[in-house]
Amino acid sequence: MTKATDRFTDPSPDQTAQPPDNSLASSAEPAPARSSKERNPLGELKGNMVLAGVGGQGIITASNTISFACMQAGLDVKKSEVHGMSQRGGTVVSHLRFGPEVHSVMLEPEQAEWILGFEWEEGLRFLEYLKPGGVAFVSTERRIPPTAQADRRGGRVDYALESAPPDGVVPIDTYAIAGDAALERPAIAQTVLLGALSVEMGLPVEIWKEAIAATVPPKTVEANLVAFENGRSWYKRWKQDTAGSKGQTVLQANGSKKSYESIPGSGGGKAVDASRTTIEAWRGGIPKVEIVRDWCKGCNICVAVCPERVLSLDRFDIAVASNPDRCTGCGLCARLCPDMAIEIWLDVPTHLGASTE
Amino acid sequence: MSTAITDAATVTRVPVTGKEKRLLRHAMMPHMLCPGCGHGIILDAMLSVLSERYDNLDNVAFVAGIGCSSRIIGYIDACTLHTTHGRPLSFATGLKLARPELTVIVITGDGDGLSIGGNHLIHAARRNIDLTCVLLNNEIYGMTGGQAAPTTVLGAYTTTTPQGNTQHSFDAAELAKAAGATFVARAQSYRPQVFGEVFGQALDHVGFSFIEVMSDCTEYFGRTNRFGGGADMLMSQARYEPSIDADLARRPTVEPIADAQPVRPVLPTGLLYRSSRLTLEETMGIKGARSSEVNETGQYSTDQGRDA
Amino acid sequence: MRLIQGNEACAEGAIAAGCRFFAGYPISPSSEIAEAMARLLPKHGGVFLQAEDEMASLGAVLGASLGGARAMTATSGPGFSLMQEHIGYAYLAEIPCVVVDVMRGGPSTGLPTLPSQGDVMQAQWGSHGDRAAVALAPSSVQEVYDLTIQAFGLAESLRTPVTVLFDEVVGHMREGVELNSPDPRSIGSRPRPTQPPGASFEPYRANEALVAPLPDFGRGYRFHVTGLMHDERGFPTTDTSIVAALLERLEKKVQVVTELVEPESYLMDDANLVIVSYGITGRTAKAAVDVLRSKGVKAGLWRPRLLWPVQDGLLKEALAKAEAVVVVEMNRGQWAREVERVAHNDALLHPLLKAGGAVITTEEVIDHALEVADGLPAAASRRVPLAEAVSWTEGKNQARMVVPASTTAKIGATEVDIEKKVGGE
Repeated sequence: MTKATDRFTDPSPDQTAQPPDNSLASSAEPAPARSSKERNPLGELKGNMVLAGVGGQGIITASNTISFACMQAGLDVKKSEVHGMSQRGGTVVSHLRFGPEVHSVMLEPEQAEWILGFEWEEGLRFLEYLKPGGVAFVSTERRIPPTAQADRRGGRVDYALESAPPDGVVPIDTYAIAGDAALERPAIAQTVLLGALSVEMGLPVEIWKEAIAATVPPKTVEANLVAFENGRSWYKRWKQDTAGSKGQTVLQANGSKKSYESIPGSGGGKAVDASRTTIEAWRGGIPKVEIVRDWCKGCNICVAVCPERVLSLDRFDIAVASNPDRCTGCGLCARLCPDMAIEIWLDVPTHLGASTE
Repeated sequence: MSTAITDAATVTRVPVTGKEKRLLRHAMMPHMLCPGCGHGIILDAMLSVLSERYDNLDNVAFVAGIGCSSRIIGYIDACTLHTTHGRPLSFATGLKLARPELTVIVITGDGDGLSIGGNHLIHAARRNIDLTCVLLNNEIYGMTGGQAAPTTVLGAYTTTTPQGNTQHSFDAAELAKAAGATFVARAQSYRPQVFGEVFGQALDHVGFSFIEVMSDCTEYFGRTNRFGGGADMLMSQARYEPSIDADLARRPTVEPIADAQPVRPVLPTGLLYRSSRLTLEETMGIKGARSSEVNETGQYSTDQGRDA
Repeated sequence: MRLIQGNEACAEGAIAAGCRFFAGYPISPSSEIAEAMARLLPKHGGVFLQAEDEMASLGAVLGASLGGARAMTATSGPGFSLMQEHIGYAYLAEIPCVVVDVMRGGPSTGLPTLPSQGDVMQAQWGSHGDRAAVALAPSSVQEVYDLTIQAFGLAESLRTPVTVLFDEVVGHMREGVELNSPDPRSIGSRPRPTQPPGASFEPYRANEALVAPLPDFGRGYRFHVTGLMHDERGFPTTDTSIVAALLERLEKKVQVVTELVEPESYLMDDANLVIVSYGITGRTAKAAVDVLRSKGVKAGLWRPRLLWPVQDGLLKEALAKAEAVVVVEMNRGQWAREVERVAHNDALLHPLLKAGGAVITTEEVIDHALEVADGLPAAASRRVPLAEAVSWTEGKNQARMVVPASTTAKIGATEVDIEKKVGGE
């Protein structure tokens, strides 16, 4: 638990009335939460989201704010934080679920109603979690996280920021919308995302403001509230402007106009297949990893850095792709291989559109 | 696996990585660097940048000195000049003045470029000759077996500093800047994409561009200071690691040296300094050289030196 | 015909030979070469670089040479020492360049700026390892001009560093010089590959002349140049048979020079007293030969213009009929060792050696030669090994300085003679 989380839990007025942040305890002794739900018309709200960005952008604070707001509404909240090698500048991901009763905290692909991308490429990187019809609020701010290499939608294999974003993505120029205060404290800009999210989530504005006041550093409360309001009103306008122009398709595979569901393999079967298809849709092809055995010196770097645990050393201390199906084609192993022994490519269907008929 | 899509007859192979490999001298691979050596990562990153700019390296010349860092040029399919210890910048200066249209890249190390070749470094910076110097800093003399380098920080162990290093170290980037380099950057082997970014900018910059790259010597610096393997050292670049200092202090036979720097000090990375003044070629009036005016206008002709 | 200094003639010769790059560092007594190049090169579209030291000077020269320029540097003893590293590099990596060493007294900072011929051995052995050096030794300003031009021809056509060695006196002497521009084609140029660029190109595959064709950097041929032992592809190797073959080829390659540089033979046809000398002392000796002839001594002069590699065959021929050989040089016996090696007969040798900054005068040569001639044909009984000869000559110098005879008494009767003669001057 980070200090930020402590700051969130300590001042919470309902802390004593809430169940411990533990799903087992929650189901064993659910009474206090239930009672508040029954009193509260907001109690039926539920939803899932992924917050992603780069360390230092205030992602944990934002997830605390959302959690606080949900708890104020009498909802059960669970959130996870993944910020491994990421004190400053690293990838930070948080899964957040709320509802009358939440058991598991981790989301699987296509389960999130919302994605909050605090950095453009990081936000797009987690699009596979978005439900069809969901909304991804993604800041157009760009930072280079150290570990994310080509594993980014805006990267070399896909479209740039300037071209059309995928369906479901709302690109938000958070700095421009947040107001002047954001120039001094960049984290304030990200509160714009909360403003936009608040339009979709259904909680009353007052609860949001209360949550912001309780979770951000005291000196920045005012500026954060301004950013929140600005984000909220901007998104309302954006929705009006773009009404009717958005289809229901969530992801497109390299220009294919097919909806997500029509891509073979996505309608059931094993989980791996579904995930491969998602990656394929992302990247426009199936990632393949190849290791030149003669060049590999067995330094173990690729094994250590692969986020998907695709690689391992064999009994000769040579790297092998022991879980090739899990490769997302991020290229991190290849970029950090001192021996230049790893190559990543995509098997791209020559006529993707035709082959999916 | 969705076989409908991955049927071999209907797929095209699109490289995500590996385009840089066509710039390698494949007959020379695998290279001679130790397992986990950061220099290989930089070699890859450098070739990645070049592979996006050039079809081949006919108009790019690499000049290097002596040491692990300098050996990497032997694997690049370009005109490569592996010179004497510490002197690559002098060879490069002659080559560039004789052939101003060539893109000249100097690869040097911390011992090569700062110790025996320190004089040439500051004078190349002073002249502002239009070339790019990449100094791979692994904080040790690797090729000769792990002796202290001018970049080995105070207190660190090497084969010639068994009681901990007693000499202060250089900040190469500050040195280059003070000597007159007009483009100074620092990168890490841990973040090859940051290196790639500043390397590309350095190639565009007209004038003496200097990039210090913090790289890992796993076999000597890493082992002697008990930093773990290549992966561990790479990760330790990500952050200042107080535990490394603690490790040093725990060494039983050694008194900690007062004022000792952390072995992996936090160093600013990315583009550190950029300015513009006339290059040596311009002050000499050499025809065919690039004009430093573009540094002011920002309108780099990235086609310069490219293949027709 | 222009009246110019030896150092200027060197610069003029370089320009005439097509030199378009010069890098150097100030040092007496060679600085005038750099100054002249700084003046001349821009007029000819060349580049002059004042480097930060001598290592950088020759480094830049080698870099420019690989870029395709004919390039040169000039220095004197201390700088020549610093350049040895790169001379060895240029030799092994086969990069054409010309290094001018205007000799001053050494070792160390030594004697700026008095003349010496003390760098002769250094020109051959200064850099570590086995190396077949090429060193030219002009003795007049005209010859500085001509031999500088020839040095470029040799360096370029053989892909090897060539040293031009002359002393402070020649460097600073002014003489009328014919600056005849040679036909560029006659100078000699580096061999170029006949095959187009491609993977099969091997930069160190030698032709029948044992020279490997050299393309410029950045002309489509991508190749590796290293100071490590390398194979024909230019890549490092530790294969001992390849290394041995490489060293043998490099040594054999330059031997052709011995046929390309003419020594001066003066009155050698019937000479039984042969004076061997080069550079400025060669001129002294030549004047002495005339005087000796007038005194009835059958003296002749053999003056090599090429010090390295030694023209063994020609030297042997020159010594064939000699009953006495006098080697005159301004050092404590450097090239004399080569004469000793070739002559293979200590009985013949009567070196006149002098180090310390004073030039050897014609009188000294005459005196020495007369004395040797007096001993003929009994000279054969006076076997003076080189080491003794040095101390013998030293004794003579000391005698000039009126050092008590007792210090050199071991030389015996000969010494008394000398004292008499010196005293008579």
